[in-house]
Amino acid sequence: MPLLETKKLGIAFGGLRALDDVCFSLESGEIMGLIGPNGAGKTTVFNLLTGVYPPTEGTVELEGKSIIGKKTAQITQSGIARTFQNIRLFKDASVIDNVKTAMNYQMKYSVLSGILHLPSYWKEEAQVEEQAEGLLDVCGLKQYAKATAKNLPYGQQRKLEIARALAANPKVLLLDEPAAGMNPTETHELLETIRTIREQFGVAVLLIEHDMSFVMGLCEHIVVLDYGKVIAEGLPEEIRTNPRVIAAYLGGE
Amino acid sequence: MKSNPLEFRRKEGLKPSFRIFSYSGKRPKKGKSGKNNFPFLARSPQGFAAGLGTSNHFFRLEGVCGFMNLFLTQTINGLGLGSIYALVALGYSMVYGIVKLINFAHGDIIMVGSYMVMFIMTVMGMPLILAVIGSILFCALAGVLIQRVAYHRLLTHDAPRISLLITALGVSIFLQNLFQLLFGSEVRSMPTLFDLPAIQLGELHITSANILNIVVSVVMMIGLQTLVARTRIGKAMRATSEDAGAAKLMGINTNHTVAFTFAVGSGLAAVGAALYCNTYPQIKPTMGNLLGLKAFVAAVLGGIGSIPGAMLGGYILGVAESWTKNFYSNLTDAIVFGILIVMLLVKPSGLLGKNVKEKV
Amino acid sequence: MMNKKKAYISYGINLILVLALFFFLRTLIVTGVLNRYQADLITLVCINVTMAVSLNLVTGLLGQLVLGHAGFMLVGAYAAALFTKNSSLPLQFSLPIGLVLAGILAAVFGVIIGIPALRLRGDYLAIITLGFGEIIRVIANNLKITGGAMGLGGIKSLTNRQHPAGMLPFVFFIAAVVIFAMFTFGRSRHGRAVIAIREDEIAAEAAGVNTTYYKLLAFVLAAFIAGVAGGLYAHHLGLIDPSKYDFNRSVEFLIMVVLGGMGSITGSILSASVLTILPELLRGFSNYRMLAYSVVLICVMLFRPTGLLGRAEFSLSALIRRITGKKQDAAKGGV
Repeated sequence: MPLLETKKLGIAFGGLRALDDVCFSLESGEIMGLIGPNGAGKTTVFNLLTGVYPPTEGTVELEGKSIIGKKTAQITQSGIARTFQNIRLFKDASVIDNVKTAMNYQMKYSVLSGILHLPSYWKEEAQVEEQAEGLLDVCGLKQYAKATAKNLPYGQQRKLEIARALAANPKVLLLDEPAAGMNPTETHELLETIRTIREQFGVAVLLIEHDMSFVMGLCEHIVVLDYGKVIAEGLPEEIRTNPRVIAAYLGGE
Repeated sequence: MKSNPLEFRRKEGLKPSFRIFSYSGKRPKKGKSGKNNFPFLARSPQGFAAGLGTSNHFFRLEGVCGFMNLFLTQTINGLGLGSIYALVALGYSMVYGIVKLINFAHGDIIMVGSYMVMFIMTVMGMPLILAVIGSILFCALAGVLIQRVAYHRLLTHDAPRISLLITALGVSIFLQNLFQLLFGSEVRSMPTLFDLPAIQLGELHITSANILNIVVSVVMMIGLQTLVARTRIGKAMRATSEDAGAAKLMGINTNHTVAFTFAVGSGLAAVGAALYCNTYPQIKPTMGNLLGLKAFVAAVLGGIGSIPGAMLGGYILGVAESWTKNFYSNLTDAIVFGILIVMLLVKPSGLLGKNVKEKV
Repeated sequence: MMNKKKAYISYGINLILVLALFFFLRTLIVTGVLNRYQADLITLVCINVTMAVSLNLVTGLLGQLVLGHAGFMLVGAYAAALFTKNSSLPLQFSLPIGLVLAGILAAVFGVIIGIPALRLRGDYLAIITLGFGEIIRVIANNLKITGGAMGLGGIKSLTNRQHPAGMLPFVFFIAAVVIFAMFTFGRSRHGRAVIAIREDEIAAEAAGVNTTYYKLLAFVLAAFIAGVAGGLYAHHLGLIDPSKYDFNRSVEFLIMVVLGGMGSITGSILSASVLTILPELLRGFSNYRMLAYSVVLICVMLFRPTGLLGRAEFSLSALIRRITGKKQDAAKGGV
């Protein structure tokens, strides 16, 4: 059984069919790329997977269980965490608090223990602090832990988004253009970071990216979307030479 | 008259309300009872004219007639009051649409407008028409001035929206206290403004003020709608409200557009003020408080950002208020706000508003 | 998260300071250094601080606008007053029970309003609470049990000739507890979730935060506190006049929060105190007082849109560090 599977996924906004008959599956521990020209519906796929919009048709199953109709927070809690294309950090909170927020649902202490600082508060907060620091370390953000999120350089903000998504303890990590706006060195670093994350946390990664060398170098499997439809699927080498994909990108017929 | 208002109503699917008021057992015969008991429901000009132009001889039954009369009178009063709400609501709606600010100072513009009419007429001794025009110009200018002095800096500095709201409240407090200093805090009586004859329809007495309110508000709404839909500045307004940043890049002077919106909104409030003084000839510095709040409710009710919505909201609020005043006068305000809350729960974007979803 | 030991030291110091302040004020009132009028003003400051700090939870921490906070106060005022009036217990015992009831009833109203209003994004909470505040007031004006437009009179107060500081322990310590709770709430996981919603609701949701729950939690908590403050206010004045809890009153509290700095608890305390005391000092200039107030308000907003303290907290230990010039890790202390 695949970890994440979509069947005949589709959504229409009014008369516009943004996605139609999208099927793909993600095995656990796999790194998969979702590519396609601008406006192909890649981010919409993420929005459907995370319950931002309900699909008009089709199913999404995580470990064989449907997640259709669940709210975004519930889906995150059941194991699909994401980052955003346009960075959405908790800007005025500290870097470490950004990460801790995503751990909130895994914590237990009550409002009263929080207010009165009962022993459970200290115990759980200490644990979370340690975990959060560990995550920041993996993402190369340890020295920024106390900084305010909005003051981070752009590339680090993207990494913080990943750290925050990881903090939600996901089985599937959805990365929406993680390398956007990064220079080649940063992109290379990011590639290594994502590999490390996969090794260390055993998560499957589905990523949207326009940087082809990044995608080809990282992904084991690629799905290509165009006009809301899957036009190709396969190994990086296959995609590279697929005439339909080339046509979609270059605009030929 | 060719068109039959009753048939019109049937077409509009308003049968239930029709039934309630024909409980004399007889079904009104077509043609003979060619009148409309609900002139306000007639949405076509013909229907409206038919409603006004026919006599009220069908409901001659004792009691029923009295009730109908009261009902119609209250409805027309409500529409008259609602027209004022509507004019003020337009200002709230336009400003919210363009800068996302609940401009709490807008209610006080009515107060400013009312005092200006009084000042120009009684102190300067000018004729009414000059007073009204002067008041409109003054308010438009005041609107722009308020925008420039109090809001502009915050709007351009991308300040938190709540700071803008607090500033609006500050302006409101400022205006109220300024006019209290200038004119005293007591209630002032207004001179008679428009001395027009009332209309007598059978036993139904329609005051000139109500007719004037309704006519002026409809004319203003049509004018504003045309302005927004057809003119260059209207296009700029729509563009700025959609996406101010993009509008700026397209060469629209958003500063001018926002200032213009404030001018138009405040001017409309001044028109509302003149009508208000004509209908309820008493003014005081705090009069804008509740009036403004209710006009705001009307704007939300109709769907904020929508011009016909603001009008519709104003009428609904006015009529609801007028009806309930007769039966539960003390609870009127609670009912007004109750309608608002129910509306927001059922259709958060308001009656004619568009539902905008945030893009992820 | 801060060091446990440091936190307790900081709380301990603050506790001592709060106790010292209390006994200082009490002595001043009991010995008659402060007259009845000044003592009343202190009580009022405590109540307004409680209100402002509670509103700060919703407006500052959660980032939602509330325009009917006085409505919750009114609900609490009636609940507490009706309980103590009809209870046979002595006031020392019936008042605390009444205050708890006041909080609970206000919280119930908070849930009723909050559930529908907080599902939506945008200014809906502002508009719905505005409507609620007005409705509650009008209804209170018309019910028999609330005394109608005349209001509810004859509410006993703990302050009287023999005990000029009778109400002080209640208003003072409730304010202190509320301030403490807001500080610690902001540093708990719940506080982080609430702040995340303020910063970016969609991202908070994607980070697994149940946004509806936390919005409701903050809102209802604030309503509870406002209810308690209302109960205190009713027992302080000895009567409830519904017209005193109108839209303008709600706006006053909002201004306290925004002026002090949204999200800054010490800012709320400071501005609530100043905005309560200053108008009394300026009674002689009553004509120009409000005019000046509005001008100052507009100017502060124009030149410091985030309020006087912004989101920073005034911290004693930070101040001491600054004075002594020592560089240590920030142990954020309280007042």
